[in-house]
Formats: sequence, structure tokens, C-alpha cells
Amino acid sequence: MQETLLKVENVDLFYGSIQALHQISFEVKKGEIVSLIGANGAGKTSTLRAISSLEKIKNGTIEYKGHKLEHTPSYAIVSMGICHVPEGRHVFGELSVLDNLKMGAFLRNDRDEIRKDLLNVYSIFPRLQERQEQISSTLSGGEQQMLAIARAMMGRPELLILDEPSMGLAPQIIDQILKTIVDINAKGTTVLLVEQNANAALAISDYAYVLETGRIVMEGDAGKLLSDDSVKKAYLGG
Amino acid sequence: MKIFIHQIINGFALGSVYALLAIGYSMVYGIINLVNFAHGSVYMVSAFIGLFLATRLSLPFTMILIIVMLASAFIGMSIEKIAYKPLRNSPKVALFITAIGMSMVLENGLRVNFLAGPNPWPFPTIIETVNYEIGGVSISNLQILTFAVVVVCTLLLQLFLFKTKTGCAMRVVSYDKDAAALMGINVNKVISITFAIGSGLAGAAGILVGMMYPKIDTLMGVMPGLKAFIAAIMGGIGNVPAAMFSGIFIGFTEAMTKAYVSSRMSDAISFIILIIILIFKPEGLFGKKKIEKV
Repeated sequence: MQETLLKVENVDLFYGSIQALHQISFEVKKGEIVSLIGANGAGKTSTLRAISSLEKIKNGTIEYKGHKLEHTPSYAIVSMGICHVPEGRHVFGELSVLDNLKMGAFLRNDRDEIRKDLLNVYSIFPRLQERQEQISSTLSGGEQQMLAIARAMMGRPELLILDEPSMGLAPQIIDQILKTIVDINAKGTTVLLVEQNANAALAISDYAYVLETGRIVMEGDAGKLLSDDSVKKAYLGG
Repeated sequence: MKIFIHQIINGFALGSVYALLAIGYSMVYGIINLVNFAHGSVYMVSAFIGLFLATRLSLPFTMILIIVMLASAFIGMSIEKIAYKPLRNSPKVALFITAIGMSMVLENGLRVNFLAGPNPWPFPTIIETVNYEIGGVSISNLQILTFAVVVVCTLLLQLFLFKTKTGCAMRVVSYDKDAAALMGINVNKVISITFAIGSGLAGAAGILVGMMYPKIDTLMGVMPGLKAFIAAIMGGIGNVPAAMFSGIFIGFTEAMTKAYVSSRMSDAISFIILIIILIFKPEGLFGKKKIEKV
């Protein structure tokens, strides 16, 4: 039995008077890739933002390795080992690729280890090394996504949260990104993945939850969900 | 010719004061998109703190400068905590009106009789004015001092922003707050530091102005505040050296207008410059065009 890393229980989230999440509960076990899938507006991004304390939840608890996250500020959550790649990448467009990566290691002071990690992310994404002096707003969408993931990896996360890494990318690039996620996971980083592209997400995940209008409507092993008729119909294009 | 050179010197000294204020405007706007109208009031309050320190405690200049900068940094941080932070997620207009309100509270609050009162105060002599004659043109030690303080502050600030971790965090927070928080940056702390630095510089400006122009009153921050705001826009928001140069430029045009056009027109001309810049180069003279991606 694997250790539970992240445990979300009965979370309600409101934007003003609109309820975005209804009693969301799920967990992420150490070493797994867990994905949240669902249509646009199902509450996937809101769930991730709640975990990182970018949104305040109204009810419920979020627990990471026994620590409560719901009243912990975002910056402190990062120091606990959770790195979050936000939807839309959010690279620092005015900074070079290298400076972006350095920002990813903002909380760390171990220079030698940071250098090692930099070489490591360059080996995962050789393209970033070629462009390390380039201002990141001039990168292509796929390169920016790589940079966003690489930047999060510079924080040495135990849990990597990825929000729609395939959004707006060409199919070959999506394949490449997914392969990287599998590699990162194989090296020991637990991954919580949010995707609209359910096929792609289920193909690489261990376990998955299906969200619909702010509620979890189904969960199961990714393989099982892939072959489930109702999931197929709703999210996998028949 | 002598008058012309003399006006250049005057313009530089006056412009240096605008520059110190403009840097604070620019930094605060860069980080929370707020035109901090209370900035000119912080400058005014710090002049009065300086007055108090000089008359009651007769401290030397460097002590006064340091204490006033620390005090105004504290005032700036407190204003942010009390008035702006609770409104961080409110519409921009609410924040803007609060800033105007804050500036009125400071300006009129200080006018009560047991504080500053309604009348202007003579500013004591902290450093004896010495005029140097160079080729028939006179320049005072205070003018040199003012200019030196501005240059040193700008250089230190630039080093801080680009060479230290906190400085880096500050730039990153001004680009993207959510992403900065996800890097482990304490965004609230960074915003506080920004207010502290900006207000500290306004404090320095308050002292220097008191020393150059012998009278201070509670409304002294209004016009310089507006002109520094023009300088901040002119330079392009968030750019420290550009804010400095634009501040000096505004002081320079003001001195020239007063000498050769009309002393009553000088403020009008400053604002005409602002309008022209906003029409032709809304991102500022040194600013980068920002493309908002959807």
C-alpha cells in the first residue's frame, strides 16, 4: 500500500456567489500519476488553484503529508515540495529562459545542487539549453510549456501539479510533453495532472477522477476509465 | 548665457526631487497597478518629520536623512497594509479612490493645530548653504547634494533590483503575481518592501526640498506629486533609471519655462508634455510595448 501524499476532502469553493466546487474529494498516492479530467468549466483548474492556495476554499480540508494546506500561503506550500505549473504556462516573458529556470529554484540556496538540476532539466529539454539566453516571450507555445515544466522541476518537487500542459499545442509536441511527464514520474516525482484531452491523460495515468460541473462524478484506474462506455461517450469522442 | 546655465542647474536640482518621487510612483504602479496618490503626501509628512528632528533634536544631516527615510518607509508600508491590501482584489477604481482619500487624510490630518497647523513653516538650516562660483555661474552645495543623493539612490536601487534575490522577486511579482507565488515568493512581503523603498525615497526628497526651499506646508506634496507622476509615465512604468531621467527632464523644462516663457505657465506646460506623450507614446518614452495575450 502506497503512502497517500495529498488528500483533498469535501472541498467547496466559491467565486462570489457562484459555487465552483461541490464537495470535491480525492487523493494522490506517492509515485503515481493521477489525473483530473472533464470538460471546460468542470472545476479542474479551480481544484488545483485551491491546492496551491491561490483560491481560498470555503469548506473542506486539503492535507499534504499530514500538513493542512488550506490556511497555508502559496509560497509556503512551494517550500513543502509542491510545484504547480499553471494553466496557460505563465512563464516570465520578460526574462530569459535561464532566468526563468533560476526563479524556479527561488527558495533554494544549494548552488551546486541547483546547477545539477539545471543540467538535469536541460537533458530532459535540450531545446531549452539551446535557447537559454533567449527572452522567453519569444519562445513557441510548446517551448514555453517545456520551460514552465522545467521551471517547476527546478524547485525539486515531490508533487508536480500540471494544469493543461497540452493546451494549444501541436499533436507531436503533446506526445513529447506527455512522454516527459512519464519520465519525470519514473524518476520519482508524483504527478497530479489536469487535462481536457482525456485520452492523452488517461493513457499515461495510474488513476483518474472525472469532474463535471464542480463535482467528481466518477473515479477509477485509468485503464478502466479508458474502456468505460460512458467516459468514452462523454470525453473520448465516442 | 549665465542665466541659461544657472537655469540648467536649478532644473537639475528641482528635477532630482521629482526623480526621487517618480521612482516610487513607478515602482508601486509596476507592482500593484496603483497610482499611489498618497505618495506626494508621504513626501510632505517626511519633510515635517525632518523639520521636527532638526528643530527639536538638532540632529546632523545624515542622521536626519536616515531617520526620515526609515520613518517614511514605515508610513508607506502602513498605508499599504491599512488602505490598499484589503482592496487587492477589488476593482481598480476602488483602490484609486482610496489612494486619493489616503492623501487627503494625511494632508488635512496634519493641518490640525497641535500638529503642523494651517500656516507654512520655515525649514531650519541643517547644512549651511555654500555657493560656489564657477565661471560666473553659482551652484550651491545643496543642489549638488540633492543631485548626488538621486544618483546614488538610483544606482543602489538598480543594483538591488538586478543583483539580489529580493530584487529579482520584486521584478517577477510585477510581471505575474500568481506565477511568482508559485515560485515560492511571498508576494505580500515583496509588495511591502516595494512601498517601503518608494516611500523611503520620497522621504529623502522631502528633506532635500525642505533644505533647498526654505518653507514647507501641508499641501507641498500636491504639485510635485503630480509632476513626479508625469515623470513616471514619461519614463515608462517600472523602469527606475528612466523615471530618474524623466524626473530631471520635467524639472529642467519647468526651470526653462519659468525663465524664458512665463512662470505661471510652467505647470501647464508640464501637463501638456504629459498629454503629448500619452497621445504618441502611451507606453512611455523608454517603456516597452506590452502585448496583452488573450
